Amino acid sequence: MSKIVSIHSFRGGTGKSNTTANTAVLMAMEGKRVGVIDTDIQSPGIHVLFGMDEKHIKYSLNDYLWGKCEIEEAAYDVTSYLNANIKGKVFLIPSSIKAGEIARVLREGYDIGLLNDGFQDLIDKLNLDVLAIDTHPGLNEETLLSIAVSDVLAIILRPDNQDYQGTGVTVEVARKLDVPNMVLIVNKVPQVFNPDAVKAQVENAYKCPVAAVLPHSDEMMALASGGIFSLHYPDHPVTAEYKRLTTTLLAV
Amino acid sequence: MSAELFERLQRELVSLDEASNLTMTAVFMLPKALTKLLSWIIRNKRVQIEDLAAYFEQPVETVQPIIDSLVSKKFIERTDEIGETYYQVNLGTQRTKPAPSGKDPW
Repeated sequence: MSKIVSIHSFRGGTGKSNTTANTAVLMAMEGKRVGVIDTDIQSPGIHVLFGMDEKHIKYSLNDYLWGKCEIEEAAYDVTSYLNANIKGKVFLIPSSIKAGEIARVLREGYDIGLLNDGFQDLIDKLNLDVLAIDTHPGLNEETLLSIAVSDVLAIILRPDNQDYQGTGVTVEVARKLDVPNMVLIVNKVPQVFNPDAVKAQVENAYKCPVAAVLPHSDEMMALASGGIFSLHYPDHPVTAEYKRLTTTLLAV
Repeated sequence: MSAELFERLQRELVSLDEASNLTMTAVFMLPKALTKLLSWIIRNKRVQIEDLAAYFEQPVETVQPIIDSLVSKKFIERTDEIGETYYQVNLGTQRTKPAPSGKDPW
């Protein structure tokens, strides 16, 4: 049974793309076929973590949304780029990184129904176990759709008062859309904080389970999106939390 | 969805106008029970009347008039395929923004 997992946050810079990429790779290491779709069309970036740049991308999600290709033609098997022992597969569906195409989306928009069709077609045509959606922060048409179609919604926040308020909005939206499973991920937690206390505080505030408390990591900052963190630092505490999160996302 | 929410949906339908240009934002802004129903259909992409009856925990004959009403008000659309009838949300008939007129500078 395939599932759609959306990774969302109300504000930018919370670590959505890193979390999406790392959990996708860890799922693939367990033998799963995982699709990662970058629906952050206005500010795409997850392709960088997989070592892709413009010259690798013939078709993007933008081309599919404008009727220039089938959705599977915009999917790239990035498993071999990872140089790791991966039993499953990771497919990436990037958004365009061409300035003109980003501007065109901002100016014209696109058919939201086509994006919905694309999610299901990807699962069927690539025989995916999991489709992970890396969303645009905040709320707009595509994030509302991504939340609505999710079997599991993972909302990321930092221990920051602006994030706390925004997360409340997202949780409220997800509840109105009746998302079947929702978890919170607290990211970039200063190491002086007690993770158990953070988890308890957040769970109490939102009445929603916390699936991971990821500590702030200088190694993550130093890697600077230069790869998949859990492959570079397999024994790091952040990787341990990513693994715990992956287990939770696969189990719900 | 419980019987209570089914009753709520019936009440909501009375005052609903016909949908036009149904977007996700519009779905979100609808009354609670209808938003839940449409989200569930979107999550399942398309469903049959038996699925809807199971979702509502109601007999098919009770659910069918409500679904027919939602079809007539253009919230959901009915498609027939090889003798089977499916229902899906009438989403995305328009772009998220209207295409501008004039020469495309890109």
